[in-house]
Amino acid sequence: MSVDPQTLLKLRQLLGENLFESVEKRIAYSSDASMVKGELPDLIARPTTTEQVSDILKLANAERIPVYPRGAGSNLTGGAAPVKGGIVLDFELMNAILDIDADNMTALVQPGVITADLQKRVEKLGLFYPPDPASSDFCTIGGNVAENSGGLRGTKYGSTREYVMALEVVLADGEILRVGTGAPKSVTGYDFVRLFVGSEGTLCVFTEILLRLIPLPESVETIFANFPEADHAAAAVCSMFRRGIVPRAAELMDEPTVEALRRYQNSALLPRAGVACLFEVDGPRVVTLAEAGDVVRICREHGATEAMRAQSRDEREGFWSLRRAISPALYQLGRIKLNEDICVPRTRLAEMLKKTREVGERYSLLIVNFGHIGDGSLHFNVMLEREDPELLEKAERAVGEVFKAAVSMGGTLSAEHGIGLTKARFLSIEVGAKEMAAMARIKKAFDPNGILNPGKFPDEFVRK
Amino acid sequence: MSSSENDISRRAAEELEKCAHCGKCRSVCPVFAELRDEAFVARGRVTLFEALSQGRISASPELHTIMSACLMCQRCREVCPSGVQFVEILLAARERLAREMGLPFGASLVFRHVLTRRRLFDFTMRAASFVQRVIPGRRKGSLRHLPLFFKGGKWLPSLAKETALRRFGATPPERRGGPVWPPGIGQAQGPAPTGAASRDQKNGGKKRVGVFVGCLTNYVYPEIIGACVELLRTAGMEVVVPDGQLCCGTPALAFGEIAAARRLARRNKRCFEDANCDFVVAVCASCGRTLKQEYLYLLDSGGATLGAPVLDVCEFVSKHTNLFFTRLTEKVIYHDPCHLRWGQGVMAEPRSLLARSCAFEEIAGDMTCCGQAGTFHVFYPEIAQMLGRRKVDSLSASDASVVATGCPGCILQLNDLMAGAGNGKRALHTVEILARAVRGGGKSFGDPEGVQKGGGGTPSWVAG
Repeated sequence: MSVDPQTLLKLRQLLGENLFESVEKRIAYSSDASMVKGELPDLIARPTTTEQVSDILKLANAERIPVYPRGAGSNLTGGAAPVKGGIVLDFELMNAILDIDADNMTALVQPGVITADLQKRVEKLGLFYPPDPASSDFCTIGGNVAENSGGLRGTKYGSTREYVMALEVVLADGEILRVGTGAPKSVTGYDFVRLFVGSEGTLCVFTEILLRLIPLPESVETIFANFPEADHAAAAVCSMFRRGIVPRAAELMDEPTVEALRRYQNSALLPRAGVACLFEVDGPRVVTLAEAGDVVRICREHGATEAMRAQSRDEREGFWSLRRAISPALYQLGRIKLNEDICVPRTRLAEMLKKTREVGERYSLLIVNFGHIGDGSLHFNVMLEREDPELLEKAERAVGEVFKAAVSMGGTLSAEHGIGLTKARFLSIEVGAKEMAAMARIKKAFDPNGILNPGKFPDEFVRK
Repeated sequence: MSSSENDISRRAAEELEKCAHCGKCRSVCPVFAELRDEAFVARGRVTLFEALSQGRISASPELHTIMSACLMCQRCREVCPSGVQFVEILLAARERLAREMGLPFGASLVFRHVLTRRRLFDFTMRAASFVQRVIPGRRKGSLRHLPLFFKGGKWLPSLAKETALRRFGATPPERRGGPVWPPGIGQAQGPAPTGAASRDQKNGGKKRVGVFVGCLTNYVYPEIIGACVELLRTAGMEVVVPDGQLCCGTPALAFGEIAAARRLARRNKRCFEDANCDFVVAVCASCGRTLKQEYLYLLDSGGATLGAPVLDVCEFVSKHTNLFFTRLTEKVIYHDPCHLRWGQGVMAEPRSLLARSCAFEEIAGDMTCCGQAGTFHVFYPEIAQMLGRRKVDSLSASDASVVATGCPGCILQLNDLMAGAGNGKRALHTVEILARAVRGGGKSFGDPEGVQKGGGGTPSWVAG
């Protein structure tokens, strides 16, 4: 695939220095945060206005040039990786927060805004943008919307989807469209906003995003608890919900995770045996204090060997630093980490954990689980010693089995990372043939020439 | 390939393997914050170095620019979840590019033959400074730069009448019997011990502290060494400024001239070993970082690189002295030099010392680099200027009259920036403030008296 000289000339005129052509830049933009090694794109286009985006897509559509939308390239499933040349459409220069409406509690942003930058800005005004992916200090809102990103506060506040009210999008043929509304309620026509959120850049690209904000909770309480078994922790979480406590975070670290953490940065908080959990409740101070007490009590009732509320900011930071250390600490257990993000109904968590252990034993692979158990999402990681094709193949089979089990329990094979390239081949485990056919028709309707983010999940249907 | 190059690429390969390409480095990189370009952040450079190592690309001017436009501030190292020492990869890349493309002739001449010979270095500085003065009508802007002869348009800073080494330097008595201190040293405060006397006192339990001067301090800011010597002697230390010391090698390393850096390291090691110190202190953040970290492998040494532990001067004063400061009334703010805070983890010491010695005020949330970064500002004046603007905005918000910092490079840049912005502030080394507080006040910082620099236009140094 290469771009013909005339199109190249037009793109140069359109973008000037914001068009990268050198091999160095093409290499830098050929991958994201996944293990996928993408193909070299031909060009990197960095538009600064909606009109430029539209013009780029018009040209690409006419010439059938693939276009790969990209935010910060923090995707974990290869969603931003080029697969066969074409143009990387990089939104990092469209990074303005256009408006924050404190009375209506909305924020209008361009797609390249860094999630944490928006969070900081609105929090100064007493407002709150809850979605909080682990990469929030460098990922972009545009990418979050495209992937429907979740995060640590999903238990109480849900994913990005819950906060997108309206979008300005550019379709594959360059047409600019506004969907959704700033009105708190609206039932006019099909809900394109919901369709486009999580579409992974395969239906359209976003140029403006209207987000819903909520009042910033007055106080947050953090609780650290150790349980002898993951089952106890899962039962404690269910019990919290039954008693009317919706924790904003409920994190589990299973035995191998605790072991990895111990090797990485030993802490007195870590249990000698069993699993560790971190809970957080937020709201008005009187409520959080009472709820934190209840959480501690519920943990103890479910056999917690230790349950304590952070008494100071430092202590809270200490609890969270353990949680944040998981990602690097896991490399103590293997050099390569296949990181998957299944999600099951809360009540099936214990069963799901058992299943992953059983699969691990059967394949003699080390499987490590941690995750946001409050909303049933579980990050299971297959740890490998080396990048060996045979080993990888075995790991893929194990992953497939875990996916099947998750779906059979009424769960999903991706809670928040998306399908992208790495999970496309597993999609049929969850999405039936008829649903796939319907999705393929939608893709065809919005992008008849298949130029938007090719090679990713909808193409998987077409191939079948 | 020589063994040193082998060693460099081996360490770089180890770091390369650790990188999980998550993109976290994007959240802190000052250069990336300005350019928002994947090639100009650690992750992109890692991808490019990988491509270079695998032979997918070859050395090119663009790759050279990409690898050069790094401040080496090490913020990315601090946040990296996988603990990648990016600077090792960068140095390997620069070494390889220098080997394959060659350095500009002037630069390699300087590294190989000038920096290694003190007299020639002195002469070159004087000659360059003289030439600059006699060329009429070309002096625009207030900042003039060290003459590394790489690029036109930049000026030398005004040189001091007498370099720090001439004023304070001495050959340690072990090697040359005579008095350690030239007459007139530290005119002043406290007794000026002769070599013999100080050796006696050492026997009485005095710690012997060697001062590493650094080039910018030596030629432009000898008063910093004056303050440092005064401070340490007031604290009851025996101070020695070995006159055989050379450039620490940071610029040579930054340009990939590993062999030249190693020669400098060996000479410095011999010089300080002969001085037989208990500690070596550095007043320059970049020198200190290189002595602590790069000398470990340049000298293939397991621990003390100069025959004694190396500490930043504030680190030393804070840990090993018990000075009484008269609190000055001036309001002082502090600027973190990248190579001190991120490069050496020295952040609390200067702050607590300042809090004891003046009306110290923290500037909330100020993490910006000043943009000087060795020769970075010479090659990338536009980026340096963008960074500088952020820095000045942040400093101007305070009504303090003095900005303390721990790096002569930062002092040079900050004074130039602040003069340009006309905010009426002045940058000084932390030890200059401490020395005055130890003296119990005295003339204000703004007083030009005692600043022994060749004043504007008076080429009095020519005679000397």
